[in-house]
Amino acid sequence: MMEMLRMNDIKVKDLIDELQLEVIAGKDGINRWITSKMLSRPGIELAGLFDFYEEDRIQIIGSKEVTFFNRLNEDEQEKRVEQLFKEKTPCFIFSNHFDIPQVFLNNADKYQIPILRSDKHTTPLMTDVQTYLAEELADSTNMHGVLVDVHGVGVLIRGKSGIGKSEAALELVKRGHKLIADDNVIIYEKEIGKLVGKSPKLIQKYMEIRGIGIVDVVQMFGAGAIRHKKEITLVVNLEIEPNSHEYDRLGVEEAKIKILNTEVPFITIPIRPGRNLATLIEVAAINRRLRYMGLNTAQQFIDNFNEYIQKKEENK
Amino acid sequence: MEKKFIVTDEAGLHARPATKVVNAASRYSSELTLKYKGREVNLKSIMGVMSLGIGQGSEIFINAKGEDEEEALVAIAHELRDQGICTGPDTNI
Repeated sequence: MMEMLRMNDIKVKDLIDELQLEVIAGKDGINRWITSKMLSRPGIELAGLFDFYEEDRIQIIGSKEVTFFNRLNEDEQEKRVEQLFKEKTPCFIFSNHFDIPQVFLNNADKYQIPILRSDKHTTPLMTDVQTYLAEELADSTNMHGVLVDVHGVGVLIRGKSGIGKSEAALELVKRGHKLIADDNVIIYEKEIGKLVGKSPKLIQKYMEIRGIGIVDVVQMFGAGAIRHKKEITLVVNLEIEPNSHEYDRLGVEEAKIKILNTEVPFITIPIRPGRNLATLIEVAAINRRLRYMGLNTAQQFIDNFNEYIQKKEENK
Repeated sequence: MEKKFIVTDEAGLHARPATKVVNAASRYSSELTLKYKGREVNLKSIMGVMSLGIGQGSEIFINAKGEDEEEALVAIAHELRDQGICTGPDTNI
């Protein structure tokens, strides 16, 4: 059912726009694709060793590389720099607002590989680029469900259509929680163990409530009622058949559901008339939070009981 | 079962007809999904369908799973045709 996609396909020009980089040369290459999430600092290559050159990565050139480059003789400079410009290389980024050596500019235009410049230091620049790439090139999928931030817990509400997911979410939003996405949630894996959900652009801030129609959440509840994205830390499944399976009555065991490569805590809430779904979801979220903080209420309850019985036995 | 359709309407799968298709889908108990560019949404959800922004010329797949899957798929094909979203041999089932 789940298809894994890449979050987005990105080009060098997307990176330029996002990080506000200056294009110094190789302008014709701004439509080159970026395929690797990793970065490369080609210091060792400038020293002449090309056996490990990661040519498909964005090349970051910082003060170390520039200083080293300046120590090379002209012949070495020409030869080694040209070797850096490969078919698959997306672009070069210079940090620190450096004056870029002419040989780089010449090759950029010759091979149509952009040379970009940032005014940042190398480490923060790399962090920025890496964060952006990790999100854009993350594995991604989408799921039917509603994502709400409840007391800081990203709760993905799932269940058959018509079961009342959106209505539950509406009530939660009315209580001050935040909507991320209604009915179609794009989920990407920022890193293994960390799933982030967001709304498809077209339906951001809208909800469909049966009988009423499309509701603009921002107009109705204010800008604070939505969030752009949120890490998913709990999946709540709403189910109508009361006898379909035994529900966890104590909540000791924690079921998990696997989305992409990440396991997320998962609970099933049976729906019956008279149950206040929003309150139940709030409680589930707070319980999740307590557990995250190290408090396992169900376990505590059982331990107390066992301790009581043991004492009773001892006093016999 | 699954069937492929090509969206021929120049406005794509736009709001009003999308609603009709979603309503038609909602009449059946089968699980119905729409797949477009690797993303799969519930065909009974208007938000799901609209969120894909399906334009003219798009290839879409409707998948039906359940007791009334055949009837459901026929009804949806007819709805797509009647709403003018898809024309051609796609909808002749």
